[in-house]
Amino acid sequence: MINKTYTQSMILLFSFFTLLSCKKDEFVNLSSTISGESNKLGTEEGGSIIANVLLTEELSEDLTLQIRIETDEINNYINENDYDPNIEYSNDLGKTWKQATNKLVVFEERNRNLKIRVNTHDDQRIEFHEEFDLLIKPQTSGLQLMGSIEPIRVSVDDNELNERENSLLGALYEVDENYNFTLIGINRDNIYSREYKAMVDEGLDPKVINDITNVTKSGVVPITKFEAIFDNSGLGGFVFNDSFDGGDKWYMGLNLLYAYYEFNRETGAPEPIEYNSNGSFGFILTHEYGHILTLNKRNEIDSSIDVFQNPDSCGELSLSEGCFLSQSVLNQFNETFYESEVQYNEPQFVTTYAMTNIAEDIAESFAYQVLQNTINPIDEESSGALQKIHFVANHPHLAEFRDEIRNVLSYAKNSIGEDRDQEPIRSFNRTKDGKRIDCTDHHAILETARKKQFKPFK
Amino acid sequence: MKYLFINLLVLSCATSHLKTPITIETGSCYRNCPEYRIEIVSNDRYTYTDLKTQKSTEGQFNTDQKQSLEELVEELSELELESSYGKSQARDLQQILLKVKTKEVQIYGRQFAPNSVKKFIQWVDKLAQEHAE
Repeated sequence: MINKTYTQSMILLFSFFTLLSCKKDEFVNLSSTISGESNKLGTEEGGSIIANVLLTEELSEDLTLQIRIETDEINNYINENDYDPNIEYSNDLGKTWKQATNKLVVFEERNRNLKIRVNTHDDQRIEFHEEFDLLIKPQTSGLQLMGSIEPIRVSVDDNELNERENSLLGALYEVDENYNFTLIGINRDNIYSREYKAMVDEGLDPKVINDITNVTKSGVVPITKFEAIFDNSGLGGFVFNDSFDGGDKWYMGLNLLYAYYEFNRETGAPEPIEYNSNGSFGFILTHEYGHILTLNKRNEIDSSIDVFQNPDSCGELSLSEGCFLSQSVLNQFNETFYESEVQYNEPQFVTTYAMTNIAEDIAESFAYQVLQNTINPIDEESSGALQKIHFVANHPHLAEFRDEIRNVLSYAKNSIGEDRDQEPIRSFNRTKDGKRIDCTDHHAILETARKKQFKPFK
Repeated sequence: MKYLFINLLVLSCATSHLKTPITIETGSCYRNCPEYRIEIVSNDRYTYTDLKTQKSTEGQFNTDQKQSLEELVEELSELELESSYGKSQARDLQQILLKVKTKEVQIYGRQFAPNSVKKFIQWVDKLAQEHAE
C-alpha cells in the first residue's frame, strides 16, 4: 500500500516537473525568411517614417539588425540636421519604442513584426524635398535567415512656403536695400548636382554675393530679386523688371555653373575651375547689369507715355519696356547706329549675340567696353563694333562703369578670353594680301590703310 | 468581317491621341542654348532641324518614345493653351514657339509655362539632344 502510494506520488511529481519544463520554453526555431514591407516611404518634415520588417516564422532567438542611412548617390540628399540620428524600434506593433544602440535594433524572439522609426525635424528653412536610403541589414550569426530587405528610399517633403515655385529655374533670393540675400523660393524639381544643393542649403558663396552686390550697386538701380541657376542648359543669365507699379524692381538670374565650370572645347563637358577665374561669370553679370542700366524706368524710360495704350504717342525709340527718353542710352544708340545713314565698317557688332536686337547690342557693347583690357581709339576706318564701344565710353549714363566695375569684379581682366561662347567678331572687313586683318589690331589697320594696301572683303 | 474591320478601326483610333503636326522651335538665349525645330508629323515620325546649322534629319520614334509622347500630348490636350506664357520683357531668356495643329503658343522663358508644357518641352529637348550628340 505504501509502495503503491509512493509510486503514484512519484509519477505525479514527474508529470508536474515535465509540465513546468514544457511551459518555460520548448520552442526552438533558428530559421525564417525576412522581408521589408515597402521599398518607398515618405513623410513631411517633422513627421516620422516607420519601416515594417517581417519574418515568415518566429525565431527562438533575438535577431540583431544594423541600420544605416545612406545618401551618397542622391542629389537631393537629406541633411544630417534634418533627421534624428537616434533610430527607434518597436516589437509590440508600435505600443512601446526603444532606442537603437550603435545603430543596432533587436528583432525579439517569438515575434514576426518589427517596426523601425526615423523621426525628422521640422525647421523653418526653405529646402528641397529630400531623400535618403534606409538600409537594414540582419546580423545572422547562428541563424538561418533567408530573404533580404531591399533598401528603402525615404522622401521627406519640405513644408515651408515656397514662393513662385512653379516659375523658377533655380533658387530665388530676395535682395533687400542693404543687399542681404534671403532665400524665398526654389525649384524643387531641378537639382543639377549635390554641389548645387549644398550651395542652396548652406548659403551662396560670399564671392558670388560680393560680385553681384558690387556690380549691381555701382549704379543707381539695384536688383531686388536674384535667382541662382545651376544647370547645363546653355542659359547664362537673364533680367526683367518685376515691378507692377511702373517703378524699377529688377529681377536678375545668373547661371552659377559658369562661375565654377569651364566648358571643354572638344566635348562641351563642364570642367571645374576656381571661381570666375576665366571671367565668364563676371562677363555675364556685366552684360545683365548693362540691361538694367539701359532699360530702367528711373533714367531711361518716359513714364508719362503709355506705349501699350497708345502706340503712336512715343516719338522716340519704343521697346517692350516703354518709350525711351530722348537722352536715354538706347534712344541715342538707336539714332547713331540704327537710324543713321552712316555706314560703319564691319564688324557692326561685338558678338553675334549682339545682332539679336538693339537691347542685346548695347548690353554686349557695354560688357566689352567695361571688360576689354584695352580699347583702341577710333577713326573713320574703325568698325561699327568699336564705334559702339566708344559710344558706351562716352555716354554720360554709362561712362563711369568701366572703372567702377573693373575695380570690384573678381578676375575682371580675364573676362574677354578665348571662351568660344563670347568670342568677339574680330575680322576686319578689308583684306591685305588676301587675308582679313584682326579688327582689334588698330596699328595694323592704320598702317595698311596708310599704305593703301586694303582690298574690300568679298 | 465588316464589324471586325470597324472594331479594328475604332481600336486604332483609340490608341493615338496625337493631334499632329506638333512643332516646337527654340530660339537663342544668352549664351548657348540649343536652337532647334522639331516637327512631329505623325505618331511615329518627326523632323529635327538644327537652327544654327540649318541641317535637317528625319527620325522615327521607338515604342517607348511613342508611348511617352502620347501621354505627354494627352496631358497637353487637357490644358486650354493660351497664346503666350512668360515674361515678354525678359531679356536673354530663350523663347520657344509651340504649334499644336493650328494653335500657336509663344513661351517667353520655359519656367513660366504650365507644368504639362514644361514636361513636353523637356521631352523634346531630350530628343533634340540625341541628334545634337
